[in-house]
Amino acid sequence: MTSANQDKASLAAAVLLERLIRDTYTARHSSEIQPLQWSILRYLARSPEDQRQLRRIAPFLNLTPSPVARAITTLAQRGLVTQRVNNTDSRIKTISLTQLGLEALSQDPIVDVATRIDALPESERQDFIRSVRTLALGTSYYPKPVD
Amino acid sequence: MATQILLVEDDPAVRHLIVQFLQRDGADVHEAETLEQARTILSDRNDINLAILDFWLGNDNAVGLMDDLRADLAGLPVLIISGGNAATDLETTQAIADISGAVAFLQKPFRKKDLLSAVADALG
Repeated sequence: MTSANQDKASLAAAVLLERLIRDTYTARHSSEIQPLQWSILRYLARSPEDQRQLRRIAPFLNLTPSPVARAITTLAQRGLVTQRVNNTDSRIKTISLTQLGLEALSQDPIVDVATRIDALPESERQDFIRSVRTLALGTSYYPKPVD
Repeated sequence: MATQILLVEDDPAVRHLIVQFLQRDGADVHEAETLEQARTILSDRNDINLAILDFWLGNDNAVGLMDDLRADLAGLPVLIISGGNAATDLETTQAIADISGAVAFLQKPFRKKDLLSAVADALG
C-alpha cells in the first residue's frame, strides 16, 4: 500500500467514524433529546449527589455553564431530571435523574454504537478500543511505516 | 489487617488531604508522586489492596501503569481521580480510564464521603 493510499484510508476511516456517530443519533430520532442532553443524562447516572451540580457538569463536558444550564432546563421541562435547591447553599441546585430519565437512558443512542463494537471479533474489538484510546490521548505510539 | 492503598498524586496538598481521609478511615497509605515511585512501591510490596491514581501526572498519564497492572495484577482494583488537564476534558479522561480498567472515576474536587464510598465499593 502506497503512502497516498494510506492517507486516503485514514481520511476514509475518519469519515466513517463521523458518519457512524452522526447516523446513530439521526437513526434514533433523537431530535427530542440532543447529544449534549444525552451526555448530561449519562453524567447524572454515574455521579454521586454532591457532583450533580451545574458547576461540576459544565467543566466535565468542557463547556461553559450557559449551554449546559439550558440543556438541563430542557431536560427538567421534559420530566427527565429534577433540580433541588441545596440545603446549605440556595445558589446551588442538585440535579437528579427521574425514573423517566433513567428509562430514557436505556434508549441512549450511544449504546447502539457500543453494541456494534461488542459484536466485533474479540481481537478486532480490542484493537479498535486501544486505537480509539490512543487517538483520544493524542499521542502516536506507533510510527508510520516506511515505504 | 489494615487495607493497603497505593496513592499516586503529584499535587502535594491534594495527596496530603487524601492520605488524611484514608488514614482516618483505617487504611495504610503508600504514597507516590510519580509513576516511577508507584512502580517501586508495587515491586517492593505484594499486599496492595487498591490503587488510587491521579490520571494526569505532569506530562505523563496513568494509562501505561494501568495497562501493566491489568497484565500483572489483574485483581487489583484501580480508582482514578482527575481534574482533567488543559488538553483533555474530564468526559474524555473518564472514558479513557474506563477503557484502561478503572473500577471508578472521581472528578476533583471531591468530598471525603465520596472518596470513602468509592474505596468501599472498589474493595467490595
